[in-house]
Amino acid sequence: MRYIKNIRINILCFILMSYGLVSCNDYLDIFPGDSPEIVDAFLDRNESEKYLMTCYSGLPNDGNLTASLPLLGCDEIFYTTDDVQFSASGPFPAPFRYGYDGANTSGNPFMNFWDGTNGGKNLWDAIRHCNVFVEHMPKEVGGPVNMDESEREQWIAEAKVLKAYYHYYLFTLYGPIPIVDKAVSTNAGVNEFKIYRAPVDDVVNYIVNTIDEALPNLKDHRNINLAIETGRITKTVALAIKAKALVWAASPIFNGNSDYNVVDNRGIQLFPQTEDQTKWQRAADALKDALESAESNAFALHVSDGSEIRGANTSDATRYRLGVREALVLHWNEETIWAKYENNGSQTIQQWAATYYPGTQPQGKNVFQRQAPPLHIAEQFYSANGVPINVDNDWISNNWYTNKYNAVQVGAENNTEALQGGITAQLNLNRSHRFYSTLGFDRGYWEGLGFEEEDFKHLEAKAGEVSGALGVRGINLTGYYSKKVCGINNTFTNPGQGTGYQHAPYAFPIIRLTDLKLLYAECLNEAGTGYPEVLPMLDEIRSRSGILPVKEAWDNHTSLTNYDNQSGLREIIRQERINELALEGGRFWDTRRWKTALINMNTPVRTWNIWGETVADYYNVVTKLRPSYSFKNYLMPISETSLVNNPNLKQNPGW
Amino acid sequence: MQIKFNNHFFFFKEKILQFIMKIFILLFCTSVFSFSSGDIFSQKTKIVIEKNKIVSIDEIFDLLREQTDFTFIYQENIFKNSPKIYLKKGRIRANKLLKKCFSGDNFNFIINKNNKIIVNKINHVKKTVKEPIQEIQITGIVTDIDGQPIPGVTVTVLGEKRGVITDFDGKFEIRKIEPTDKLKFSFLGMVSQTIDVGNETQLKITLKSKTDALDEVTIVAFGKQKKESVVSSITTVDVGNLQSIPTSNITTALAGQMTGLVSYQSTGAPGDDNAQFFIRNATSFGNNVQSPLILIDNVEVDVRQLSRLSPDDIQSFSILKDAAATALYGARGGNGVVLITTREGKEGKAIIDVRYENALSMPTTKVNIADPITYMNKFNEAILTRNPTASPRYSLNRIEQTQNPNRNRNVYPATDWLDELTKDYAINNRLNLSISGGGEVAKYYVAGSYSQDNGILNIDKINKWNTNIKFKKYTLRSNVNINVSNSTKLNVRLSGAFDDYKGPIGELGAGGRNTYQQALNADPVLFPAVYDADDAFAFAPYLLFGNQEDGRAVNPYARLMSGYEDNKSSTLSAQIELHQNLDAITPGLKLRFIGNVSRYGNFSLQRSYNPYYFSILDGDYDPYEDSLTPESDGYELYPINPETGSRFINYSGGQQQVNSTIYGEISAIYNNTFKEKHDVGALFVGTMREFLAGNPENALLENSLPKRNLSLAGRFTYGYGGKYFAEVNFGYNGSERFAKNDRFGFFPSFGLGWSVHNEKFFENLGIDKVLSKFKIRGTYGLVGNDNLGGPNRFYYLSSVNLNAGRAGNWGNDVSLGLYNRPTISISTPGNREITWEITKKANLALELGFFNNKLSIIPEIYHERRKNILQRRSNIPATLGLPYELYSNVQENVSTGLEVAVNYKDNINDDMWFVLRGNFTYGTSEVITYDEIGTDKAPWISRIGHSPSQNFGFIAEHLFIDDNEVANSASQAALGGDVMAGDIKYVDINKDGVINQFDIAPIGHPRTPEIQFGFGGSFGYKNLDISLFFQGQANYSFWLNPNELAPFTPVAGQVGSNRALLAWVADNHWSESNRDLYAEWPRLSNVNSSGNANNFQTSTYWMKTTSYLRLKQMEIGFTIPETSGLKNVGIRTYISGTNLLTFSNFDLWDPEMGGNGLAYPLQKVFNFGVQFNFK
Repeated sequence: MRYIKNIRINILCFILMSYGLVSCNDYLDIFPGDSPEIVDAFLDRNESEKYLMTCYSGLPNDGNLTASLPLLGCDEIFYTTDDVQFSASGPFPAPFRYGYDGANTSGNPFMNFWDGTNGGKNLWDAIRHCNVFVEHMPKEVGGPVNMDESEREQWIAEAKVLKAYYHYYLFTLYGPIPIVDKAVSTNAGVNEFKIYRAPVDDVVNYIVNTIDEALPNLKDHRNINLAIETGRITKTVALAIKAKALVWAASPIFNGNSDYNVVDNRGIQLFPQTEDQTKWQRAADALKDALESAESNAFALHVSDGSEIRGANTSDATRYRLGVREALVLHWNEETIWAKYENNGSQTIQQWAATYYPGTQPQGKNVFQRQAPPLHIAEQFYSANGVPINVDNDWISNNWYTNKYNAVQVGAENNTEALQGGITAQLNLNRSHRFYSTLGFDRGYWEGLGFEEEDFKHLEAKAGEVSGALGVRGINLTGYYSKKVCGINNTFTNPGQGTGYQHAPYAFPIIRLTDLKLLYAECLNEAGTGYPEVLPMLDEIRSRSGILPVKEAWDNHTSLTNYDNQSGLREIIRQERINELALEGGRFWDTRRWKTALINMNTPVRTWNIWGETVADYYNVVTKLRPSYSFKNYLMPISETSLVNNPNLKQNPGW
Repeated sequence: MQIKFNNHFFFFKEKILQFIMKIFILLFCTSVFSFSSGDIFSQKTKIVIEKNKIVSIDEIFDLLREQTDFTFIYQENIFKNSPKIYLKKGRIRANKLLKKCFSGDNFNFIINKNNKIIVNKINHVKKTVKEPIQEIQITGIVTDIDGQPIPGVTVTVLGEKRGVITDFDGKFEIRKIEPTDKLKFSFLGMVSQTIDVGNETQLKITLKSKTDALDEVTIVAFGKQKKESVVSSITTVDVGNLQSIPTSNITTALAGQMTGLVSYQSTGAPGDDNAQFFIRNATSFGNNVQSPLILIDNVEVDVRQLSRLSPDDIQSFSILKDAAATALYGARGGNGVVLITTREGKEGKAIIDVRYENALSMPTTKVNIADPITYMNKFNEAILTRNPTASPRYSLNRIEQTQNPNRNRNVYPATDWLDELTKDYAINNRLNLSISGGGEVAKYYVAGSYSQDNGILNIDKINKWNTNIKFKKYTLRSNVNINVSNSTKLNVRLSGAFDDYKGPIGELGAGGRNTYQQALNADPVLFPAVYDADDAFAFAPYLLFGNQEDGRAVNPYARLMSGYEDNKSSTLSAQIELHQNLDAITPGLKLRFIGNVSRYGNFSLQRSYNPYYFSILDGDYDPYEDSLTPESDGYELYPINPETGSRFINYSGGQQQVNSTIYGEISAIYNNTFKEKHDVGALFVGTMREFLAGNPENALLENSLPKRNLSLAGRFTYGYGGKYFAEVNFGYNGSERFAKNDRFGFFPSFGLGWSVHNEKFFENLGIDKVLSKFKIRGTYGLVGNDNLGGPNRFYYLSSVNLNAGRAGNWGNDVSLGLYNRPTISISTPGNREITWEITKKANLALELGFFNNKLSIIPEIYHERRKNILQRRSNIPATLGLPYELYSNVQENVSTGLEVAVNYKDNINDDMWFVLRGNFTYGTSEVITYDEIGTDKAPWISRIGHSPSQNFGFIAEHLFIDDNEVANSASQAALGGDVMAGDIKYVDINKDGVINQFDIAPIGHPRTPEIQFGFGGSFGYKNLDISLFFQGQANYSFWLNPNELAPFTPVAGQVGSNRALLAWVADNHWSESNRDLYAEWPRLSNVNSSGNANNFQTSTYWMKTTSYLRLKQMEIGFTIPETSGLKNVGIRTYISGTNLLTFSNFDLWDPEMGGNGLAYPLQKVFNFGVQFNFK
């Protein structure tokens, strides 16, 4: 056949060439040079480094409000992007689709990290990149020749850990997931594409093993070039991911969760149906390793020294209030174990949270004051005594708790908490420093903004006031503001004109040291360790925010001693986590992991009456939304498309 | 002098002419003439025949008497037994006419001095045969094919300078000549002939007319074929039919004209009004991949070039449909071929044709928009019906005020934007001019045309420029044929087409959507188009355009007025053809070379100012509240953009596009007849083509590379005795789009034909009077296609971007800069297996002629199976992690169809004639292999078994009766939005309680019409002719796009402005007071698809299955009679119209526009034209 073909070509060429027209062999070969192929990405160290970057580029943008499931998929903040159309009579705005208005469906999943739609990234894509990288890097298969072997090993190890992390991320969203450890050829049969979801324990073991494999070749944080390598996977990061995966494995959602009983086509049970207490110990051990690694690499709790604030004298109160906020917004501070910097994300989260204050002209289009935590988030923070407000003796005896929604004039005793003489809610006074670290509110102060302590600005949030709902631009839906995520000294270059909001960019933490410490405390408690060993870890974190140690606080300010038993301590640890990691997405992961989201997330969304122009109008609690979070929402739906594509996949229960 | 049948006059005439010629040939061949004394009339004496008619000889003599000085004297009844004679309309030489009279018998006649002719019948004529005289002197007579002597023929002795000219009787005499000499006979307009003298001394030479050569041939791929011998499916449209439609864009004239061509037009905007057309039903997916190959004078052109071709320049227009017809184009012809030749000059005196048309153009339909009061009331309803506690948008006071005819229109604006923006009609002009003629050395055809189409947009006098669409086209074509030598001909074709467009910015290329759609998108009560100046702006020398307070709404009037665009393009084509006759090697062998270069260039310039916008001063008036008291008629304008606005025009940039095409072709053609029975033909052709765009699409490397084709094709034909025909074709093509191993494709085909009517046994049946023609033909073959569609051009090449977006951002200090590097992104995996799309085509046809072929019927059926259609692989799960989509040649479609063409022509009496024609095309296609998933779960979502253009959607049951029904029906929450009573209820096909993607089913007919037909007739009475042509389509569905229609919803790109309300929606929607479950519009809402997605789904609710029949064309013409004194000028005037009447069950807009109804409407045209023919 080929012979005949050649004859044909020759006849054609003969005719055409006899007229001096063309040379057939070249005429149709129009593509100049070669076209790049995947192997070209492994030609040398330079190209391979780009591929390594590609592996990293799959990291979810947890710090970008428009793409962050932990921030959007939870009840911590509500916002509207529709500043102009939104009006008093309008509907409660999107985008809280996850578990709220039923718009998250298997037909069209919200924030879909499986298929990469609706704001989610396709993590399988990222996993494939890692696999391709791991498979192509070795020298013997054509990897780059001009690089150091130890560096090559280190890069491969990083790609492996990333692969493990992407599996981990999917695992926390979907539970049992397929394990994809190699880049399957597109020429493979369709049956090779139809992989099964692996049971929870297999997934966890795969993550653990992959990380263990990579560990020896990873660098220690102390050995990296901080100026250009901060953000790469180090030993500590790998150990932390491994520990977190084990924590998930030990947690109620995956450890003997009989609500989730899924048997696939092969007859394999995907969710462990019986609880295994030893998993907590395994997680605790891993956390211990991670914490030791962190310590040996000089990671430490960030304690504010007040240096971010202008002027010489910064009070203790201010420093306590800066503590946890600085731990979030200072770019790679000493407790940031792993973070991802994304220029847009860093800008969006700060501009959307920022607010105007008296003296500014509320016209700047890059300040939106949108990120609005609802009332129940404000209520979860401790009292000034470091205990829940509903059990605080002072709150009870002074009727503060009963009258918490009443408007009161701020007295001298609360003058660092809110504008003295101004009127605010009882709920906003006598709270722990961490409350003031996290939230802004009507007549509350906003530390920083380029001002010295005595000049700190307060918010005025009623309708018509500068931070309030003007009906034109920048509507805060609840009356609370996400102060925590804003850089300390973000300023207006020209406050009178409201233009030029300057923000200090920061890498959004993926893992903070306090996260690990609190997990360690949790694991120890679950594993049966006594409270004397557990409490110091909580106390260390509380002390950074000027909050009394647990035992002292509970003993002196409540009538409870529930810290002395496992379940009581569990509640304390959980509240500590929720408060410490507030507005960072921790609540999204933890409430699901603990299987408490059904309660937490179903809390009615209440706000101040933001359309109120007077104190009497404003300080009324309005129930904006009654969520309908159900047990299916613990795990994300696999899209119908994926199920149809691969009938071996079993849908998560309820979807 | 001779009347030239100008094609524009009577498009049906040429066929009749051919038909009559045949009869004459027949008559003269079977008759014996007795003219011995030569002709009595001068060669120049012509008799005008007014009408086609059958006459007796007596009547002919009457005619001759009337029109000449002669009278006839003959015995009565002398012609009693002579046959009647068929005369065609036109002019005939008197001699010829006279001979006709005597063809039946032998007559003798004497001419006396008074020009009286005395006719006698003789019983016997003795032929006088001269004895051969052995002298070196010969005599002879030169006649034409009808036996008419030709005077003035040059007879030269080859190799010598001497020669003679035939005398009045066509006779000549040459002395001193030797038997070895050769004589050449030549005459203008006739094919020259050379003979050997030999021993003959008395020669009878017959010269053939050159123009006869075109008769009875069909234009086929790379050449012509005797019509009788054609076995493949080729439809030729009568060019006159195309020319009679008053349009400057020929693509809009195609619909319904011929079988197998499906065509529709979706917008009427000048410069943008190309119709879509396909040959049979294209079975590929995608838009561009269905277009047929279009060839003008053998050279591939694009649709745009076709649309710029002046209809008057067309000599022939054919479409090639089956595999055998298109085989020679191989891979290029998979979607059918449109074959056009342009006119060439004929030997003879210069003929000048002039045609001028003046047309009145107006929309066929006008979309009705509800009045502003209704708008406000319904807007309030839309809000309150969804949320009774919400506050209405417009207060009663506001509505009342707006209703007040004496209101202040600046404060209470009410704008009918469509009215502001458009006018009712436009006047267009066209002028065509051509000169043709030639001599022995060369022939020429030079034609130019000019047309100006105007838009129907309004303009404001205050502007110094006219922003209405003005679209001018100029074309120039020159075809020159040079006879280099006896055996070598050189044709040079030069053509240029130039477009000058001037109109609103962004209108061209948008299908006229801009203005029309914005007119509907603009809020009718937010602001007026232009404010009247208040005291403060009384000075303003500019228009005070209205807008909302922050200037973020669109004021379409301001957009229209504020600038204009110049868009000019030119296409230049130069073509050279060399025809070499190689009879010297073997008779019937020819070589041909064609070279063509064409260049296209286009640029646009935009000039505009940024309009000053105004609103009513804040505080005095708020469009949502009514703080201005009704009594107050004062108002104060607020300048929205005093800093950015301007009244001075500025240049704002445009685009440039250039491209180049080079084409070369060389072919060897052989045709010969052996033993008078065996017709043998062969053709080999090699072609190459290169297309290069100067502004590659999407600025991609792959689009910057030339597009090349290389092909070798061949055809072998064999005919036996005019009865049996066989044909084998092949195309062997190379395409640069495939990997080397697959770059060439071989596509053979064959065909057979049988002319039963030429069989003896058929003649013996004796039914040939009734069934005069009976031919069967059929073809089968493969056709390839390299235009696969999909996102890539080279599927065999991988596409990896080694410097994609940066990532990393490592480092602990942002201020020092972070460390990032580019990433690698893979957009296409190289797949060397991607290959040709291949279609197996079969075609079977009958050609039937009845009653001496007065009635002809050609039914034709076809079957096409197209495989290897490129399709995205659907079974690639996300877990594979591919960042790109995979494609493979998977899909297979089958299409079948039936086409019938019917023609009937007859004369009722001497003055009256008519022609009827009709055609019908039914084509259906079906997907038979398709890579799809989920069909095991929901078999109804499968594409298999449906047309490739089948639409899928939800099945709307009715509108929800009440909220109770919503609660008790399958959940539609997944579609989005709050579903209430009056919203669309969908059928839960799989009964799982949820409406989702598995409840989607095939709905409606395909989007391209399955049935297309046209029929019409022409009727003539004396100098008057009338023609009518109807065209229609059936079996198609289209979908209203609620996103473009939904009233009150925010419009993308605008802030604070809401879409207007169609009167149709206002009148036909569901409301709480009128709970019509089948209302044409669901419960009103002011939320668009993002908040109310339920009603915006593709479903049967929005589906319109329709058909239409329209009076596509009508023409009344009057030819000014020759007797009126105009000697050398033929004049015809006519009035014609296009799209005059439309019958359809869909009346919202023109049904031909389908879902594109808000575009610039199709135009109804009334046209006046006049044609001059100077001889």
